[in-house]
Amino acid sequence: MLSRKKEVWLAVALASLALAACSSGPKPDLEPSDQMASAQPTEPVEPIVEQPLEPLPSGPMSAAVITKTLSEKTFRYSGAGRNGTITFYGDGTTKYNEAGKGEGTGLWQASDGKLCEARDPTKFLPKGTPSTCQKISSDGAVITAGRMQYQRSVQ
Amino acid sequence: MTSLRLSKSGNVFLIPNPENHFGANISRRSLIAGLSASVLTGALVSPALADVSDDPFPLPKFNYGKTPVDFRPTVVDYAGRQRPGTIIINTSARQLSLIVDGGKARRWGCAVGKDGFRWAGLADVGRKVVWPKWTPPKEMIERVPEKAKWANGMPGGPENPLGARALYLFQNGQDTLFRIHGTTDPSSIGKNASSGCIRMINQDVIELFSLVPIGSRVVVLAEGV
Repeated sequence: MLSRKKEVWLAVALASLALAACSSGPKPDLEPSDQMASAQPTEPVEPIVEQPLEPLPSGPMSAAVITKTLSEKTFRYSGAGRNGTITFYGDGTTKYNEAGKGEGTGLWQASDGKLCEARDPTKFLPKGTPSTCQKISSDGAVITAGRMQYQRSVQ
Repeated sequence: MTSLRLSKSGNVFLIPNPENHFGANISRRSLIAGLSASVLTGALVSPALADVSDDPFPLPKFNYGKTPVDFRPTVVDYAGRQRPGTIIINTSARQLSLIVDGGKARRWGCAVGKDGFRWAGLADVGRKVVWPKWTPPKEMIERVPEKAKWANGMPGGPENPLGARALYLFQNGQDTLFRIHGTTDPSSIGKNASSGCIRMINQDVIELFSLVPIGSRVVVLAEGV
């Protein structure tokens, strides 16, 4: 025979299990955690939605437009047998990661209608590359500079 | 006469040159390290002493008394990511900086293009010439007909508008026709005065010339961007 005290504890334990079972199963990703739920009510949390990428301009690009479009942004590039990602920093430097080769740095600068680029020497590119300037344009989705195509990347 | 040339390993060689080039047998790394040390100790006062003995038109030390402070040679802090050895031309400030190690840059005043003649971009130093010959472009002769007498080239020398040294700027392996060069008119430094080239005081460009090897990067910042 269970004592009266033990009966009460058993009832409480069973009730807890039943409640826990109710709260099991898939939860929405952004539901406040149980810890938060047990705390004081909080402001409703806005779901984190990936911000849409800024649309690219269309047509020929002036130096100002090139600079605004590329500065502090990362792009996927492909063309001329190469592909990877590149970030154009606002100070005129770049950092890239070329598929199958590795990371490197370089320079970029906008000139009217042209994107100028040069790569610094790395292990896989011991001499770097000379400064080259290519006509640049955009169709609103893809930027083309010489034989290279650039698309925005969220990286 | 000799010129500075970068080897495959990044060293700088003295090689014979028919175009009046000067040079020294030092590595790029030691050059930058030496420059940094000189800059940090304040020893960089007289430009390119190694050049002076060979210079066909030696110049006295320049008197900066009439030059605004912003355009006098100085050493400034540099917090950017550009590599040591890079030349940066701040078009709107009319200042030219050479990045050196240790978060510093050697800075000089310069003149840039007049309205409608300025340019921006990225280039490499493709040639270095001492007391360069100057040939006015056709467009200049059309604008200023008295320049026609130099249509076949004005020999280098103290009267030559390119001044004591010229660094030829290349893009895509081709001469852009833009240069960093000296001047016969030091009062133009700090102004929008040229036809697109970057002008420096002769003594300043001699110093810059002695510090940068062929292949050095030149970044000309766009104005108002």
